[in-house]
Amino acid sequence: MLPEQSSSEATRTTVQARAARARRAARSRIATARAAIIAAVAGTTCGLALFIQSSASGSSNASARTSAGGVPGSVQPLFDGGGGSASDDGGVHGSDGYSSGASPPGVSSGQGDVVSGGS
Amino acid sequence: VTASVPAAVAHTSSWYWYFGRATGLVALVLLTATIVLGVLGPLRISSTVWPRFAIRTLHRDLALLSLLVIAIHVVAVVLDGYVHVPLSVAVLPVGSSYRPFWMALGAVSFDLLLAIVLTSLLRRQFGNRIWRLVHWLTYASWPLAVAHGLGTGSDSTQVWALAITVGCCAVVVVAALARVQRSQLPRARTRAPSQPLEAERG
Repeated sequence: MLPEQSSSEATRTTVQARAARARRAARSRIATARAAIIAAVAGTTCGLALFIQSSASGSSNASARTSAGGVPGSVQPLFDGGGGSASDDGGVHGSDGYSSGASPPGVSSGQGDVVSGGS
Repeated sequence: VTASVPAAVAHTSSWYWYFGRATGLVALVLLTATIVLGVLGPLRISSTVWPRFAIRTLHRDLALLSLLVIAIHVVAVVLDGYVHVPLSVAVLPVGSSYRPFWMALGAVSFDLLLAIVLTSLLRRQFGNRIWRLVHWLTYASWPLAVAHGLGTGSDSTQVWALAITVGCCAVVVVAALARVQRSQLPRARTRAPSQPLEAERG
């Protein structure tokens, strides 16, 4: 084997080894980024849910629901205390998704507040 | 005492609702990150720390994570039970009694995303041409998802939610503009040397 050939092969081997090391390092970084993203997504989702819950309970539980599908001003809060008729329990009437007199699960129509002051 | 059980049920239902809303927004952010990495991919942005294959892998992982978060979003909304949203609404643009138009947009967006992810995972089977054609649907899927969020999201009028949505839109627009601008550069470079050649031929 000529000295020139062995030199070029050595160079090639060095370059390949360097590339392999870079790939391994990049894969390690990908794994770290993957774990960080999953943790961030889980944390953000839970934090956001808590934030939405706290902001909803700050006003009224129903306001979020009402704004979700309701006609603003046309409905009464869902959990605002006291009994209500089947038509003012937070249900939205018409084509917006809620049936007339709709109640949340476990709450019969007209029962009114079962969360904040329904004793 | 009798009210405590329904109260617990109502609270559980509310938590599904809050969780559904949170996952919706997180899914939008994830989709935005996915689309930005995808749009910037052909620009060959890379470094020694983050080579191109690493960015491609991240793009794929984010897309899969987006699908997972959207699946959780759908399940949470279906389980909520306050409004009747059947599970089929996730993929079928009909059948929702709750804000049917905006829900349909979400379903179509999800269908397109499913097609994009499936053709990407089975790229060898489908071939590059079909993969590329389907991948262009991203430009339809993402705006539909944004519209779905704005129309359906109960927090869409809140300042913080609007800030997230506007931020996502801004990032995607900037990435798309960068892509368009960059895509015009090679053409200019290839045309310039060809002109003298043609002149020589003529």
